[in-house]
Amino acid sequence: MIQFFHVSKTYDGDIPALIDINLQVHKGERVFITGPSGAGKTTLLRLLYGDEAPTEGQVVVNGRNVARSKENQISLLRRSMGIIFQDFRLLKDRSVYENLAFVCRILGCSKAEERRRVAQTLALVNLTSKAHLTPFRLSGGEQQRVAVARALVHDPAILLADEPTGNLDPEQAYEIMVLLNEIHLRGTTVLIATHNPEMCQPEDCQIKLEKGRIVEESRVPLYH
Amino acid sequence: MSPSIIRYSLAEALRSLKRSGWGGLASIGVIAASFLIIGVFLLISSNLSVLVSRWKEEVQVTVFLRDGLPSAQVALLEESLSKEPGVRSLSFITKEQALTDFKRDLKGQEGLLDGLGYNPLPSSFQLQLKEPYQSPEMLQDLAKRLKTWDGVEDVLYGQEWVEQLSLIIGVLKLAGMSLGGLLLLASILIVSNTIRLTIFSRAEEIDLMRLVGTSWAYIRTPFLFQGVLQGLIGALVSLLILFLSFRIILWQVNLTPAASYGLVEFHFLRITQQFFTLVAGALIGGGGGLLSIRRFLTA
Repeated sequence: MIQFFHVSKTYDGDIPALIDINLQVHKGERVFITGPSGAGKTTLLRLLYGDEAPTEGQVVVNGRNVARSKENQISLLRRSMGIIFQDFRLLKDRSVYENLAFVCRILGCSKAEERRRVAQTLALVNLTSKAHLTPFRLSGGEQQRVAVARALVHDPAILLADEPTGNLDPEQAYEIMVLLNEIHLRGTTVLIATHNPEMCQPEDCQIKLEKGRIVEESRVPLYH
Repeated sequence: MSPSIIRYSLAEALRSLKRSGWGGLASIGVIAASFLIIGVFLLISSNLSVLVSRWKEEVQVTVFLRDGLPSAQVALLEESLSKEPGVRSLSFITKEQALTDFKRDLKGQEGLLDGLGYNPLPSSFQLQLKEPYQSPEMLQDLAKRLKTWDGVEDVLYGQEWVEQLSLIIGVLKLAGMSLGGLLLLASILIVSNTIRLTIFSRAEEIDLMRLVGTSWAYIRTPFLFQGVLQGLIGALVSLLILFLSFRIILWQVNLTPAASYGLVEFHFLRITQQFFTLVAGALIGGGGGLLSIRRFLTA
């Protein structure tokens, strides 16, 4: 489903963010990308949804080379993904409901479909009673749950989560991890970038990054 | 472009327009002012053009005769005038006829002439000219020649100022177009700036839209529509102001004696001119929108 072939990414000023990454993620897998801040976790995710292009190598998602994809193909690719951002990126002047409905609307859902999807997803993250509130009136954990809900509202095949528990206290972090686990169990391919390796379960695939290189893998990579 | 994008873009454009506040109003105001200037010049020049073309159709040369000219000499002059190559037809106006005509023109104020006690008007020949001989140069040439004839007191053809008016109309058109054109150019930049500010204020939302897979057409079209709407509203406002001003002026003019004699007759911009004003407004607004989109909303 997801493949990285000798992928390197260097930012301006020759700062290497990723060096010779080879990786394969199968459909329905849950993969933790761990490592300290600046290890290249966020860059790896951004390459996946075409927000950055690799300096070298190829990133392939669903058989399509992301870097060579045209604008509209990148848009289609992103529609098959749900992305949870480290800083939530919620629309602060809109209600929780609107934050979710916004995604449905721009993806062309009908009004009825939009209402059904938003209600279902809010129920999943246990935020139905707060649908009318703006993000300012929610706690950090609740805001993160809205961000998760927004990533799921269009039922994506791949879920990318960048430090989904980074700003949360342990209890809130646990809630989010339970939620991500549920989503994974429904068959969604989940990639979670985190600096906290304790979140991984023994059965999870874990890839450890350090200074842009894979330094440890919990399974043998298929591509070298 | 699918109907859903059009519906969504229109709703978003209206929302942005409401949110754009003073900036949006300023854009609309500048567009309206630009079109108003062009409209005023166009209205004046087209009304003058109608008047001038009407006068041009009535080109005639009046040859005034010296008082007390013997009838044999008048007959000689008539024969010579009718042989002039440019003359299509001619008619002789006696002193008495001239006075009767003048009295008729003064309708209601004939008493003014009673005190004179004598008829000061000369007899004259009214010459209607053939089309090719109606140019200002030809007229001037003919008048100059006829003035030298024996028995001719003066020659008037009253077209010099018609030609001057034509020149003024040309200058008015040029001035209106230049000034309005410059302002319209400024309008494009102002619309572009308003839309740039909208784009910046919604940067977070736009970024998010992009990241959840919204197509660029979906992201860009509302801003294009916002520009088109601003241009359209600006042009519409200018037409409304122009029309209201025109009606007020017309109402004032209709109270003058000239209007009651049917000497002046004004008309508003033709429907095609109004339509093109709206189209031009939409294009200018859209152009401003496009300018910002191309600069600030690229992959």
